[in-house]
Amino acid sequence: MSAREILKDCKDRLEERDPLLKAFVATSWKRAEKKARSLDEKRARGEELPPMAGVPVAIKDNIARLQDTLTCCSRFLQGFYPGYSATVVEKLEKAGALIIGRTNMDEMAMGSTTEKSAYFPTRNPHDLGKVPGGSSGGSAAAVGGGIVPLALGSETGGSIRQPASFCGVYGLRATYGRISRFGLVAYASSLDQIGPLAGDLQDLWLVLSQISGRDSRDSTTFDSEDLKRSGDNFDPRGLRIAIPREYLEQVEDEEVLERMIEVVRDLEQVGVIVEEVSFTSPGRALAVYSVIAPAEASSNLARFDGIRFGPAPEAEQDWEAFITKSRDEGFGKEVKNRIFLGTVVLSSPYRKEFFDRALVAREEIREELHELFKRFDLVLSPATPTPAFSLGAGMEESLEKFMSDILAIPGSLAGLPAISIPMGLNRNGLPLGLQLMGPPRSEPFLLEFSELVKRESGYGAEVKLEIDREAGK
Amino acid sequence: MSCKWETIIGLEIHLQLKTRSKIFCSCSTDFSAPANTNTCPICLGWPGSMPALNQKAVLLALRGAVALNCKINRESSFDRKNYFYPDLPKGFQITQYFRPLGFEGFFQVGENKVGIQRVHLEEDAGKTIYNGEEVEIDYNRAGIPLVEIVTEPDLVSPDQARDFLRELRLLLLYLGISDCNMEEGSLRCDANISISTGGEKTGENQVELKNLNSFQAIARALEYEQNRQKALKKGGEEIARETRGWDTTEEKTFLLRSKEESVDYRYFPEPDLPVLVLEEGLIDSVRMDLPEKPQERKKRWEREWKIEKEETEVLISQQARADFFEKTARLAPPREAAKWIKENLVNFDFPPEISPEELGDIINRVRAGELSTSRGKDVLQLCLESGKNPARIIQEKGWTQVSDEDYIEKLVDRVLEENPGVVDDYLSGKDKAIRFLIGQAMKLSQGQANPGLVWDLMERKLEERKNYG
Ligand SMILES: [Zn+2]
Repeated sequence: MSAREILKDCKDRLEERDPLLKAFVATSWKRAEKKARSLDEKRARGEELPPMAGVPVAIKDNIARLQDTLTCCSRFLQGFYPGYSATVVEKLEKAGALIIGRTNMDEMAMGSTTEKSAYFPTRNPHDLGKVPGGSSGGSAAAVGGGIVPLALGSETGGSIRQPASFCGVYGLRATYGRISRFGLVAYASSLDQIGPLAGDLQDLWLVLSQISGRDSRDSTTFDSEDLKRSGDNFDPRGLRIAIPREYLEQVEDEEVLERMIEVVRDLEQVGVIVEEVSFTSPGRALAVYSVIAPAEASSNLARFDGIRFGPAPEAEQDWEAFITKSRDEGFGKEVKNRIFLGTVVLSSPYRKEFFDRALVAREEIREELHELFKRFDLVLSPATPTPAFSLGAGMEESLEKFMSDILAIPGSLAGLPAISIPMGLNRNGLPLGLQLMGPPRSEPFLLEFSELVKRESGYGAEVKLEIDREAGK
Repeated sequence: MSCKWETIIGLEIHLQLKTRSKIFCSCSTDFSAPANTNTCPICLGWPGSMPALNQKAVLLALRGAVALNCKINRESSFDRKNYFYPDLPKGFQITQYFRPLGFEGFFQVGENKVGIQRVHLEEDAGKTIYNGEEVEIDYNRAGIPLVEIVTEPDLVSPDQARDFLRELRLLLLYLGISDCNMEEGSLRCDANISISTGGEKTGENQVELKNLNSFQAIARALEYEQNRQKALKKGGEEIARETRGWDTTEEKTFLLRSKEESVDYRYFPEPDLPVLVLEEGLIDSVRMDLPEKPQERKKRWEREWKIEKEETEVLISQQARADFFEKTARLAPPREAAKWIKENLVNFDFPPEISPEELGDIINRVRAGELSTSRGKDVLQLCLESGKNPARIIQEKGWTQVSDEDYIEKLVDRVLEENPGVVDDYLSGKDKAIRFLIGQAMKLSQGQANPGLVWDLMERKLEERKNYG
């Protein structure tokens, strides 16, 4: 197939499905077509094609791209053109990928349902009445709904893994520093990572190898020479897997637990040693996270002051009134709440009790995980305590929403790589997910182990090729 | 009740580092460029942009910290200082709060050893321009590397504070880390001042004076503030903790804001920049590379070359001038060299249109009697104007001074013969008549005769006539 044909198919699928899914907030067909044409010409001339030639990719709306708007699905950034591309975008373009559009997300990546988008909520391809998860819900729905094979999302707590799990696809959070954050609008810089969502493990490998590596524009990145497969002789015998008891205690959904146990049995069949261990309660990690993430966010979002971009209330002469009004108009409620919370935990007299203690506790969690990985190769758990929940469930469910990230958060705090992999559907047809977390820079092992899980359990991505209009109504 | 008032002053100095590019991006540091032209997504705080540290700025700051005898953190780090201001693009300033580059240093000024609390790196903000009703912001300055130097409250008078800053500025200029131009704002100074009734190291209620932009402003503002606080204390009033500005026209300090309403900067570690680790051996190599400090150089001149303090002050105040002097002093007697430079070259930009070798040559010729002092000055002047060397000027002008005694005797005899009237005047007691006769001799020699010899001989011959008629 030519790149143009692939792109045409992709466009047809989007036009057919996105009106139902609402995964995209912007498309860039013209540029994708131009790119596809140049790739086809290259091929016609017999030239070597780049590794991702002709692969349609969607990017989350918090990743900067030259000539695209960058809105983070916030009113604040309506019509904002950043005028530069994120490092990952430059790398994707160089690798020959066709970037077809920008995906919906919770405003400023704050949320876990994509309902907090300033545009509209995105729907779960498996059940239009359910959320796709978030904040990378648009990317997860675009892949799970079969529009694109590959999308980029971003994580702070579990914003890739949770929606990947809800939509039945693979989602990878890389080791902190493996993928450049330059061009990713920061939520909480010490936690943020860009990462891929895909319907296929090979695609995940491919995109990871293309977007990783040291970047002079992001000083927290490291070299990624280590991204190599060990070869065909991956031997699962004797591998040691830990399942933290405290993680399982968070899971109330029977089916989620049963499915995990089923997969674990399959793994034991091929010689993997699985052991239940005791680990810091994820609740404690969540508490630490709920201090550090808003604290950093309050600072990262301070640049949104209405002067260089964003609402500029004309009537206001006074600076304080100007900035207050600008931020009041530009930000949604969730964002304001988190900024407020973050400001409080950094201010005296609360700072010692909250922020300073959270920093200490974060180090303890990091240390504890470090110790755990001396004895085990991987930590395994369900990806989320429940499958996707209903859209617009209202405030009373807000705790559950926050809790849906709970199993992802300890690894995020420690900057560890983790992958969310599909493990079939529940009795209502909703995807269930498994999470594997490894020590720093263990992505090659995580991906190879994921292949093993797929082989032994028989569960792979659950991509919906036909969207059921009636479901969930 | 009589009590002794003690003034306690500490300074905070901000210095723009002399780098070509900004501290976290590759924009030029030339902030005189048209407004907002030296900007990019990073220094404008565009969403998604990230800082990348300029290593040149680190080296310059390190040079300053080492020269100020600081202890150096092999691992220092960056933090965010959060506050909202229109010219602060990101809503926070990246600075070094928890672990500064340098700490616990000192700087010796004369007999005074002033403690240096910290030396740290940070970024500058943009510039707000008030244009009538309009407020304009120029972000060219945003992200220019700054070094902040904070002294201990070791200064005891406004004059001492001013002198300290003068000496510090001189040192920083010698280090080549900043232009230190107070008018252009590449050196800015704030001061903390409090009055204590003895004993405690800092007065409990400090007043901070902001933006003192000249040495005069520093001394005057501190003086004013010292008197204001003393008067308040005498009247039994408490001194409020506050930040005050200096009104240069009214010559008064005025309230900017009360410390009670002070901002909580919510400092926390900058997550986008890793810990700044200095390579093994870097601190030593920076130390080895330091130039001789101006204060030490001056003392050496006074000690070894017996140069007057009045002259060393002038010579040291510009590094190029001091270097010029140092070279000249190795070619001609140092005291003469100092005098010549101070008297003839202070108004010139250094290096001038004359080399130390050439100036040494002129000085040596004058000393050897080949040139009169005033001829020597003429030669120097022509060197500066034409760029020609002294030997060539002397040759072209035919200014070689003649000290040949036979020639001078003939000259004197001829003048005495041609001016009998004047000679009679002298003999009858008009001593001043000799000046006319000497003038005539010099004129006949076209200025080349050694005037000292002419004078001696003329006097001797006249005295002979007086005695032996
Ligand atoms: Zn810049």
